[in-house]
Order: sequence, then C-alpha cells, then structure tokens
Amino acid sequence: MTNFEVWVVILGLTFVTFITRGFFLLMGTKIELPDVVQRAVRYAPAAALVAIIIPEVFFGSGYTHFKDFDWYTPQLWGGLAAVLGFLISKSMVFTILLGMLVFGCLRLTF
Amino acid sequence: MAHAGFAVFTWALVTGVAMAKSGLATEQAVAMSLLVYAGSAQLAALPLIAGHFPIWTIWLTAAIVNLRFVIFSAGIQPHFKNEAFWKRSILGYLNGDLNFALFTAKYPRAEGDRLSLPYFLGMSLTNWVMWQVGSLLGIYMAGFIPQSWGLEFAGTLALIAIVMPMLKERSALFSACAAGSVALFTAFLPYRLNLVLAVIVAIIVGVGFDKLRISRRKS
Repeated sequence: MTNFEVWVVILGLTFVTFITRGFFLLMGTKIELPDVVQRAVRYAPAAALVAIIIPEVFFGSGYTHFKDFDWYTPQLWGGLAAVLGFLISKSMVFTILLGMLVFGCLRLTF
Repeated sequence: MAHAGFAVFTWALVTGVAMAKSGLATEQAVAMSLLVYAGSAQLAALPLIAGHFPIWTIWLTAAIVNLRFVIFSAGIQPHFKNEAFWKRSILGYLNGDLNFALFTAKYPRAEGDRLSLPYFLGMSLTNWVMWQVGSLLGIYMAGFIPQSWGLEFAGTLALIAIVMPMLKERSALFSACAAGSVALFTAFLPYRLNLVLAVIVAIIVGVGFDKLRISRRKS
C-alpha cells in the first residue's frame, strides 16, 4: 500500500468512527426514540465489556479456533483470581495485582 | 474514572505498540491514534493495511467492528438530541465503551439534568487524553516493550474491576452472563461480530427479565 493510500485509509476510518459513534445522536430531534429503547440500552455497556473480557480470558491472546482452548491458559486462572480478588477487596489495584500475580506465575510454570 | 483511566491507558498502550509494530510510519500511527480513536477498529484494520487489502474492505471491517457504538449512540441521543449539530458531532465521536458505561450508570434516564452534559464531556475528554497518552507512549516505546510482559492482560483485568460493580442487580447479572456466553461461543466470527451479538442478546435477556419481574409483581 502506498503512503498516500494509507492516509486515505486513516481519513476514511476517522469518518467511520464519527458516523458509527454518533449515529442516532447525529439525527438529533429528527428521531424520537421510545422510552423502551433507553431502558433496553442500559444493558449494552456491561455486555460489551463482558464480551471483550470473556474470550480473552478463556483463550488468551492470539486465538484462532475453539480447539485452541486449553485448561493451562494462564489468562483463565489470572482472570478467575481477579474476579475473586474483586469480590474480596472491591479494590481495583488488588484485583489487578492478584490477577497479574497468578497470570505471571502460571506463565513461568506452564 | 480513575479506575477506567487505567484500563484505557493500558489498552491504548497495547494499541500503540501494535500500530508501531504493524509497519505504519510513525506519523501515520500518530495520526491514526489522534483521529480514528477507536481501539478495536484500529486493531482490526492493521493486518488488513499490512496485507494490502482493498481500501473499502478496511473501512467496512472497521464499521462492523464499531457497530456496538451505533447501539450506544441510541443511549445518549435522548440526553443530547437538542444540542447544536456541532456539539452532537463531538459528543457522539467521543462516546466510547467506558465513558458510555459510566454515563448510563449515573444518568440511566434523560430527565433534562443540566449537569449531564458537562459530566459526559469531562469524562469523555479525560478518556480521550488518557487514550492518547497511552497510545503515543506505545508508539514511541514499541521497541522497548517486549511482548513477554503480557501487559495487555493488565488492561483486561482492569476491565474486570470496572464491570463487576455494574452487575449488582440480578437482571444486569443475568444479561451479562448471557453476553459472556454468546461472546465466547461466537468468538471466532469475523469482524468481532461476537461483540454485537453479545450486546443484542444481553439486551433481550435484560428486557425479558424486567418484563418477567413486572408481570410477577402484578399477579
């Protein structure tokens, strides 16, 4: 890809961000979203975050197939430790430290 | 936001490193970070740029990866629909995963609260700055950050600590479990479509749960 083409790609991607993120907001008052939509959308953000987290915890990074699943995935146990850490402490620092500790130890041993 | 800041920072750092290592020129990686400002779409686009894919396929891929933001935009529309077009443009552009999550937690309904706009803007700009600092640091330090640190996992752990408090209500917990299962079993769909599917199923489960509770209360 030429230098110029890469710049075209980047500018196009900027437009894509602008349109997708703004989509309904850009329509302004031209569209009236019913109350039901607003109540429904409440469930979207946690779902998106969980959907980002779960596959990474189960498969680690660089997964390409279900067959790649392995009980010896350090991310799996690190992730579980982090969940426990949060339930015990409610502290983000402790959650990350415990998760990274378990993850790091397992990476050295597996 | 301090918590979310850490997640955004590590996430950005990883994205910055990935951009620098993908063969983009430094000024292109910097421009991509400052302008595109959408981590998952950027990460999806990088291998396609390196692989000389047709330009329109790269744009299409990014648009599909960003589909969840279309749903998010419906969440902030009732709050800010009366603002001027240029203001709506900026607010929409800044509406990422974490600031949208924190915003809906604080303002679940549009009730014309005058503080909702400054709250959203302040949080979103903090998010933007944290992202750019992490991302630029990643671009310039790519040579010094070895893959073996597993730094990206710290970002995932930070997300765990952010999402857990959102799951206190039973309906939210059920809906998130549904999202997690769907995301896991569709993890190998192209274009990260598993994110979109997970969000849609989570909404259906959550709304269904609400309906069930209301009908039980009536009977």
